[in-house]
Amino acid sequence: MSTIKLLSSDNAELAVDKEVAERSILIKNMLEDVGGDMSDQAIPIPNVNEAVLRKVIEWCEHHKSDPPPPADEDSDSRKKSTDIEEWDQKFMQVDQEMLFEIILAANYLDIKPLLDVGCKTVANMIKGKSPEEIRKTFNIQNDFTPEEEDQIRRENEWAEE
Amino acid sequence: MFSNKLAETTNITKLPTELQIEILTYLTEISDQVALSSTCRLWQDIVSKNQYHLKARYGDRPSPSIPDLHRLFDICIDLLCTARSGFLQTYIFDSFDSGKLDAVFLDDPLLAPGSDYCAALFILGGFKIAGRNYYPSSLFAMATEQLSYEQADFRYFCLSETIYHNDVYSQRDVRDAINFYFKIYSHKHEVLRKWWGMVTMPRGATVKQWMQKAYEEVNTELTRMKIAVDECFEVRFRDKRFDQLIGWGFEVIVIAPKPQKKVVLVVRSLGRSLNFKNVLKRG
Repeated sequence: MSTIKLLSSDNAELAVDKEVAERSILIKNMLEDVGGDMSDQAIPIPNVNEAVLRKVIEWCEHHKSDPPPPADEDSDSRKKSTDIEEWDQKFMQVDQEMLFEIILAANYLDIKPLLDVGCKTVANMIKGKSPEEIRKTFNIQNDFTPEEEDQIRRENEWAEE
Repeated sequence: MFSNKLAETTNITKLPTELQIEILTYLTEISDQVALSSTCRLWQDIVSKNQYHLKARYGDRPSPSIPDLHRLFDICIDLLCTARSGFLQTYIFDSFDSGKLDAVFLDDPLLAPGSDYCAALFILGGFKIAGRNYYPSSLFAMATEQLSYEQADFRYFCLSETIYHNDVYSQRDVRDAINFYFKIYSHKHEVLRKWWGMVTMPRGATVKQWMQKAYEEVNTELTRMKIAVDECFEVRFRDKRFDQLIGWGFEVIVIAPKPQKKVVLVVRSLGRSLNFKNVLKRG
């Protein structure tokens, strides 16, 4: 089995089975374009650092023999499921920084199933929460204007007294 | 360089918008949609405009909602509206500690675009002043012409609900309120025609427009009854589900915070005391 090398943004060189690396459509297309042997030359992945790249490769290793995702996306009318298989759930038990880095990397490297798992993981963290809880969880700035907030408070006082 | 890059992306709102959309697309439950649109402006924008979210805001089988009807009131929340100078001006969900103004879904049509259902608004409420019941004209007409044999039930029910309502509101802030309930029902057109005294709206009327209409109807009734009300009204829209045949309705209470004689609401869930199936068959 042929091996290729990937060069992370922080200049770490990682050796990966070609089959594994080709879970990334970006890399797959790149290799096809080059049309030849890349075994002596590392492919630069300028947007992904070593820690994240290792994590992504770990996922690709585990999923290397998955069937390719269906070309046709879920029909628009059907509700998207947020179910995640057990291995992926464990894989995604990382801090938020890493989680978002994985999502960004999966997007950049064009690994749709990994992107889906990442997005589902975040969606599950949001599900069922109140706006305030969501803001707290993700450290999101409340950017509604103070006047609006004041008004809400006043109205609520009126209602709750 | 390494840490800088991380710092830039730790916040979910720093992800490219298309990725945020990708994430939010998994969250189509109406309660989640409400929460998302109250979290920050960008998410409000995404959720209100994304077709995928919009579609999910209407009932789909086998949901308890009537198909095509906006699910805003599927979640048991109060929607508080304040009216000034004859127009509803603010809309607040009061179930959230830090709700927000102007829920965007209120600009959605009440019924799904292209729906073959229609909706009608009619008054099913009344109020009580100094021991005497007052009914808005449309209710009265309905009660006498169509619901006569059930009128006794209806009155009885009103009284029991009055007590219940007093209990609830005395814990909050009664301040002698005038309360009206409106029911908005949605069902097939043939069924609708059998009902008396309804206000209909053009297809495609938004939730907001329906609420404004409900509010105007209340105002008209109050004027007709020569009851003065303050400039400022508060309207509560609540989820209420009735007989599945009728399907769905929500009620509107208008509270005028002006001191009056004891004025309390009389009808809470009419659906429980009246058998709509029978009424429809007879009508």
